[in-house]
Amino acid sequence: MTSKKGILIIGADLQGLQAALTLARLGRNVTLIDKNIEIAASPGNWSEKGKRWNQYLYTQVLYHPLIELLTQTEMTQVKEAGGGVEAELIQVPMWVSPDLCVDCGKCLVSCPVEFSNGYKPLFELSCPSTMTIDKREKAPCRTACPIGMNPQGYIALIAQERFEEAYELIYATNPLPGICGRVCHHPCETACRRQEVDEPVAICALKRFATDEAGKKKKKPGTGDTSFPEGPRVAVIGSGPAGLTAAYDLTRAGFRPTIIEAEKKPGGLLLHGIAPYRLPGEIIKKEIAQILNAGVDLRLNSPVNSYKDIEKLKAEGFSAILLATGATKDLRMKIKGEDLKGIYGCVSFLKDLWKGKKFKSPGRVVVIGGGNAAIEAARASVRLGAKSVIIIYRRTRKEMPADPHEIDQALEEGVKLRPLTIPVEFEGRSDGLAQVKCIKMKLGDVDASGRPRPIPVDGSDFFINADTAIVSIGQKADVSYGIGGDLKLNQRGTIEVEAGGRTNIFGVYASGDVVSGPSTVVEAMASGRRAARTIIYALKPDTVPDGEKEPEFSSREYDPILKDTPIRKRSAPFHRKISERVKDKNEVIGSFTMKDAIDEASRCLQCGVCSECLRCEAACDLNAISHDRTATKRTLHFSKVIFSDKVQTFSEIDSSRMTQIERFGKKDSWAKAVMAGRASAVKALAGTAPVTMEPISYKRLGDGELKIGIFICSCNGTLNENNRLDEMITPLTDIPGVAHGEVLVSACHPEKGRRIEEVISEKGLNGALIASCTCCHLAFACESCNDQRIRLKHRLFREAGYDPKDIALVNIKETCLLPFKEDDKIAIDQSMRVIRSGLWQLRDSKKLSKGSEEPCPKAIILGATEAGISAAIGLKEKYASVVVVENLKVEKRIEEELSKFGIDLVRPVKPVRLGGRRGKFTLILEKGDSLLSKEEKKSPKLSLQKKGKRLQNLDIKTFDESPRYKKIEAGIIILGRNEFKNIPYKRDSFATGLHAGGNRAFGSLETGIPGVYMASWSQVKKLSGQTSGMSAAGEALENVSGQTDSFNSFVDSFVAYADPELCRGCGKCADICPEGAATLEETTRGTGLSWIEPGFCTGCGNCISDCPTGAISLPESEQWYFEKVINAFFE
Amino acid sequence: MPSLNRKKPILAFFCNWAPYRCYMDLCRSESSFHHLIYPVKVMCSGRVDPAMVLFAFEKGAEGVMVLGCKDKECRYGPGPEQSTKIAEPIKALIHILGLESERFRSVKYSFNEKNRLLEEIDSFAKAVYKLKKSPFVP
Repeated sequence: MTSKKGILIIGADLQGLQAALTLARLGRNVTLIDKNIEIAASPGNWSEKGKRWNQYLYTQVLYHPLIELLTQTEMTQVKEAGGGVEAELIQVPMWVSPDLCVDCGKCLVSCPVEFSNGYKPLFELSCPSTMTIDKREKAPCRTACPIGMNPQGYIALIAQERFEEAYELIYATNPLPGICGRVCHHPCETACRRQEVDEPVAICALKRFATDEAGKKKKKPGTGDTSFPEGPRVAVIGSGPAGLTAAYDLTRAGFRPTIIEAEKKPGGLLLHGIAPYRLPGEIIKKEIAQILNAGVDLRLNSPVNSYKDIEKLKAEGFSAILLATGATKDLRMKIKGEDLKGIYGCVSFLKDLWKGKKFKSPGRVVVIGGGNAAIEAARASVRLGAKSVIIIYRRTRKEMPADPHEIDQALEEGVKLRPLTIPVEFEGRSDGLAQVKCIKMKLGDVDASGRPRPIPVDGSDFFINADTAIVSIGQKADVSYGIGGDLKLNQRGTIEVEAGGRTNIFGVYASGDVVSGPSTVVEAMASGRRAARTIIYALKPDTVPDGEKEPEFSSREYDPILKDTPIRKRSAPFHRKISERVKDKNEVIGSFTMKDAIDEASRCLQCGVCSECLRCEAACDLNAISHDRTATKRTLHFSKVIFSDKVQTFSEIDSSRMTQIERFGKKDSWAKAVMAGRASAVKALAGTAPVTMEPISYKRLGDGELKIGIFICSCNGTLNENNRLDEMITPLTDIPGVAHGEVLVSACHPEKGRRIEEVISEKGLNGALIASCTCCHLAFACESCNDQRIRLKHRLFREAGYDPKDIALVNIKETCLLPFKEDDKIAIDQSMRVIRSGLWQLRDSKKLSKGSEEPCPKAIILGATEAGISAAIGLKEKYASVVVVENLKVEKRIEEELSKFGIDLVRPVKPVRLGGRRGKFTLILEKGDSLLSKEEKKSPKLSLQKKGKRLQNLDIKTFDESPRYKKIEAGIIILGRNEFKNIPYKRDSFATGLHAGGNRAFGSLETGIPGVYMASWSQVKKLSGQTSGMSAAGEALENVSGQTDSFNSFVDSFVAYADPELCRGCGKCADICPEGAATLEETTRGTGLSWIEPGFCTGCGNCISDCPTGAISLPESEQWYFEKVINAFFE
Repeated sequence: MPSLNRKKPILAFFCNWAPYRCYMDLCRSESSFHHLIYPVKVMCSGRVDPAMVLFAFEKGAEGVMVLGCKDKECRYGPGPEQSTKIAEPIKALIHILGLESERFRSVKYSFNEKNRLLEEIDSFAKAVYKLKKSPFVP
């Protein structure tokens, strides 16, 4: 039972690559997977030759249409299914798609991250030749940020002085960057790993710096589209950070939000709570204006006081209402005397102050509380001219929730701190507060908030004289508008929501402090963002990705911090002098200087390596990069699985479906590895059937007068700086025969490269010269080849089906354009020379014609040895007729084995003569006496005479006439025993004998005669007869399948020919020819004439260099050809 | 045609295999490489015979290099030995014809020796630049 499912090979090492190639050449679909990022990352044990072979095999694998190579892929599950195996393969996310990358390097230039040792997260691989990205777990600064900002990214850009790009990245997640850059509580810095070396990076200040820098340029980034979206209308009640962020996010999803604000000016507590010397009003105004510009309407002076107001909004046509009214009602201490004049709630105090209300000098001020609001109140009091300002707080400074930096500034400005103190009573007279009765506290055990519980110390009462007291112990939300609608609240008095902001009322959502209680700016923004997303999903479900379960994939970890990382002081931005700053409301803290910003940014450890700044994605205009990609899961069906990379056993599948390639240790030769790969490939063939593959047949583009098109690849524009390539077109099209000249965006890009085929067809060209990185039109891929070059050849010669003789491919990228990047003149000059010499190649090759033959579908094995039998069984897969010949006795069990497989055994016969060539051998067998009749025994045995060093040329026909001899034809001959290599071949004994490490024996069992293989190789130890026999069979099948990469370029045309008119019979060619292709034939006159057997010639040309008369011709290797090529350089 | 600057062109015969790979790697790398190399690909360095070398000089090459694979690494077999065999006669020939034998070099590489190739090309080019312009100017 055969199946057409493919075969899975795990491990693309030397053995695996070879196994894949062998199977593919035998017509099987192969999926080759490897967990590494790169192939030919040699195991390190091999000799140079082994490593080289690895590289060479890799290029072959790429070129073969039946092999799918998946790097960074592992098999996670396997089970029996449907008469085969079902395997689940998971591939690490390929952010750069190797099929589309043209290796132009544009992305590389755009990547801002570079480590001190020169390492960049975006770098070039060689196998596959593509860019790749080293991306780890998200940096802790990113995961700590409630709104999902990317500090690693924008800091990398700042370090490179790319401030506008940094700002774009910031604005992508933060519509209020100037605000956050001044007042955010920066959880990113708390999480920053740099503190393990010295101090966290000053992320917040850097964000402010980048925003300020970008603001200096007049253009407004982040608001490209000026037309307002049509979408569903949403009412956002409240213009604080939560409402603003929600509104902005809604516009980006195509909604049309309207912000409804109770006050005269928008901004919420940003404007009314936070001091202008921390956060100037112009910044708030500017950033809100940007948000409004994106398509948000604003209604001021429109308080929502009751539920009726909400119902009115619904009636207006708003599809959703988002409550973002914040928590701005002061909490009261509820102690005696709180109603005295001079005692204020913090928020109402600040609100009035920043709205412009005039305050008399507050005298001696006591601020109760430890949060940022308390500090605000304290510092504001200083600026109002207070005589003294004391903050009293129930725990110690360490436990104060206020930003430590704020506390520092307050203390600098003269504010005093009294920790472990609470007020118990306010005492005063009719004209106001006079003193505050306090009690000392001590710290007890840790309470629910994680901080030590403050416990009053009995009998420690004391008084503080004060004229003003500001109670700043917290805020609560005012949700009186919810009463009429039964809006559900929770214990704290804030709105109860489901995750995502849904309230209990349909169509009404809530976010920000009104849900969470007093919080921070960025957390309110995050809450607004979540609510917006919920609204978007509710009203436009198709815009939100499904969140379908992605295949499990764990990112690589951060690199550990090196112990010798030098300590660098954290930079600080400019702080105004205390004596000056308390006199006005101007900003206290300035921005970084540019030098300090860049220095500070360079302290970042770039934890995630790739920062996902997305510059590469933007730079790649061929759309090869996408950072959104997730791990890919493929569930595929195979008939067999071959393991190479490690010893595995899978109990889930039957052992008949698995093959383990023999393991190799450090001391084993790489040649053995190759043979083992082949052997397991052949073993796996059983029970599988080949897919129908057409033998390669090219279509010629037509003869006659030359109409050549010249295409010059600009490698996605990177080689065409200053449009220097364009200058070449006119001089080239002036050359007679050249009908078209053009500079391409890319020759190898799957889509853009098709321009070549388009033009050839549109203009009816009959030849093309493509000047790019691809350097030859030969059918194979050599060591210099890479993915891009193979992609082009594949498209031209396999998909489009052009004949390589009609296309010339010359390399100008490496030889002319890259080395002379700075010198356009020389680069172009050099390119012109190379192109002109390529035109000669084209003119020459177009003249060649093509021929091909079907190989004889029979294989003969000489000798029924273990290795021989094994080879016979292996060959039976493909060959209808396999014959084993033997002159000695054969055991019964062997006879049975052979007949079981349908293999003929002919005995007793002795092979005496071999002629012909691969695919067309003629073997003469001398029949043993038991096979001859009495009459037949009378015919004489023919023997071959030696004449000097050579055997007399006995014609095959002579054997035909004798009944003692039998002639059979075969495509493949396998020698089961070494003795058979002494069989006379054609005119000579085996010219070069068995190759062991010479010519083609890179793990090859082929003898000096192509098509004749040894079934065993005694020089390689520990290789069983069975394995080597299988390997011989595999190699034999590979080479006649018609899909091979023979070293010949064109099928049957790239061979040498000795002109008998010119040959003087010196035999030098025969002496040097490694394949035994060139031999000296004896003429009737007794002299010699060179004959070069086309089937054996590999086109190396060594015979030509020795030939004294120039009798030997070989395409692209003759003297006149080189003269033309060399001449073209010097014209 | 834009004219050549005063740099002297070197014609290099690269065998298609290891040396060409080195050359490709070299050209792609950042190493500074500013010599005018006219590359001519041959399938095997053993193909290069005195006639081709002389023709190159005749046409105006200031120096000629033949780059092949190492002795046991030739995929065809005889190339490296053949090129070694031919090297001395070529040097002798050009010497007779009046060219300095420094103008010709036959060298061998493995596929991963791009740095050695760079050094070789640099040293060869420098040696050639030191000499006067070739008397074979067309």
